[in-house]
Amino acid sequence: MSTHHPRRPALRAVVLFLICGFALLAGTGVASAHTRLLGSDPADGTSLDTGPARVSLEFNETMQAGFSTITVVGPDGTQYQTGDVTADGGTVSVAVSPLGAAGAYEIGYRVISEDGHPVTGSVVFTLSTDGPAAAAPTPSATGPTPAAAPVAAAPAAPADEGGMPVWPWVVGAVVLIGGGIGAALRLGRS
Amino acid sequence: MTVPAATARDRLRPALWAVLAVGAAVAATALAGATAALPFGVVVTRAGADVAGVACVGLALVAVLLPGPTSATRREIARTVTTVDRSLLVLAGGWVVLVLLGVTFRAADAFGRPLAQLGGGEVLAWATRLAAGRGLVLTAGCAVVVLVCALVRLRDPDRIAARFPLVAALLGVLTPTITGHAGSAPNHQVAVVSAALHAGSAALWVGGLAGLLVLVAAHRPLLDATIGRFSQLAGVCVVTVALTGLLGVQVRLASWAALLGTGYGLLVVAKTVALLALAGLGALARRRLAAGRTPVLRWAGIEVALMAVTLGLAAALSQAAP
Repeated sequence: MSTHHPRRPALRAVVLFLICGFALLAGTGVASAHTRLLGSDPADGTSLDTGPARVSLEFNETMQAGFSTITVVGPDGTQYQTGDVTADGGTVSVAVSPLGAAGAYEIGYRVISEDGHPVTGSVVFTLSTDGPAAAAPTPSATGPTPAAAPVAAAPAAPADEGGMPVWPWVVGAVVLIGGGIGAALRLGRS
Repeated sequence: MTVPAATARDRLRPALWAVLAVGAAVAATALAGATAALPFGVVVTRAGADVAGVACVGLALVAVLLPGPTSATRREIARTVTTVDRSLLVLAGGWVVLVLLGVTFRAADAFGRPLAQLGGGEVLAWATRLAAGRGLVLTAGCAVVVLVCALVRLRDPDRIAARFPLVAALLGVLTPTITGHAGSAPNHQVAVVSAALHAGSAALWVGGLAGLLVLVAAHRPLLDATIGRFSQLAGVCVVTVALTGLLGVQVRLASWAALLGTGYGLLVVAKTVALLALAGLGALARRRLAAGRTPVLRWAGIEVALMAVTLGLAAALSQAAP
């Protein structure tokens, strides 16, 4: 079409340069786009005399209960979280059963941010005196989740099982679409 | 007159570009430190869906750019339109399938489950209750619209104007960016608008050039009638891509040190280099074209290949944490 602007690319380059510079200068504070932990109760690194009834974690995004898992793992590997995770705004929390022996307790979390990615991490607090459950020699007697050897702080999968596996449906849909297109192309040719 | 000689190689070229894009995405993901199989499934489906989407945009753009038929070009134009619609049908179908697979992989990734144990409820929850999931569902919807448009146009090209599949394909390319990282960024509006513009212009530019090269380049009168308008559009797109890319990085990257210190930063650098090279090649091609010299076409192939790599890097970037 019109080719009578030989100088336009140069002009464009200058404008581009200026706007880029402006954009850099005018930029506001920098922040991460991902979900991140703002704080927790109990906070990371605190030392407590008595175990908390609940632990809660606060994030910079609105959280949904079904997508969040929280584990509270004691010094001997026993898990102490109990009941379902609840969400309120950016805070997710879970009830904690009476803690056991004094030592380091790790609150592990796995949440899913609005952009669909999982975000995991952990917070550690220290129990300075033995809790009510410490007397029991076998944690499975009082522990709320006598799961077979809870490995370290790996957060368990979300509670709600999806039920029947989804992959046969996906395969079916793929075959259906592929077949339909093949048929349409064949019909379109004749 | 068509040129039947180089058709076999020409037909292989789009496949090569697609492989380049997906390969670049996989390589970038590996370099960024992924080891498990699932992240690769996620990034391959994402890159594949992007390639299909961009190809749909490009094909529909070719159909829009085609001039009105004259007695000399009527037959060639009708043939090209049919090729566009048949390819659109296949690519839109592939797009739907890849988005479906992508949703499945990403749900498995989010819930930390192997694919075989992933339940329908979880996929549904991921796809409907999260912004990212809703975005991908919208993309699938747009791809279905493109598919239906192509189907109807195969029967009767005058029934639906070529601009409808173009708009649908563009919207499909935009939505995942709107609901991806940018959607949850603190600098919300700026990030969203710039990401959408970025994806849209990149798709028009890359897809349009590839489409012209594959479908129109062999036919000189058609090429002459379309390349001028495309060149103008491409110029605007390059500037938009550069500006919005810079804005996006500025919003997301913590510091200048992160540019070289993190995998995400390195991806940004790689994309910038590729963009500069592309803009240079494009400017050169345009100057040669204006001067009436023709070996532009060989370079355009290289340019699209480079674009494909950039696209793959972009897909990897979209799945990487800053």
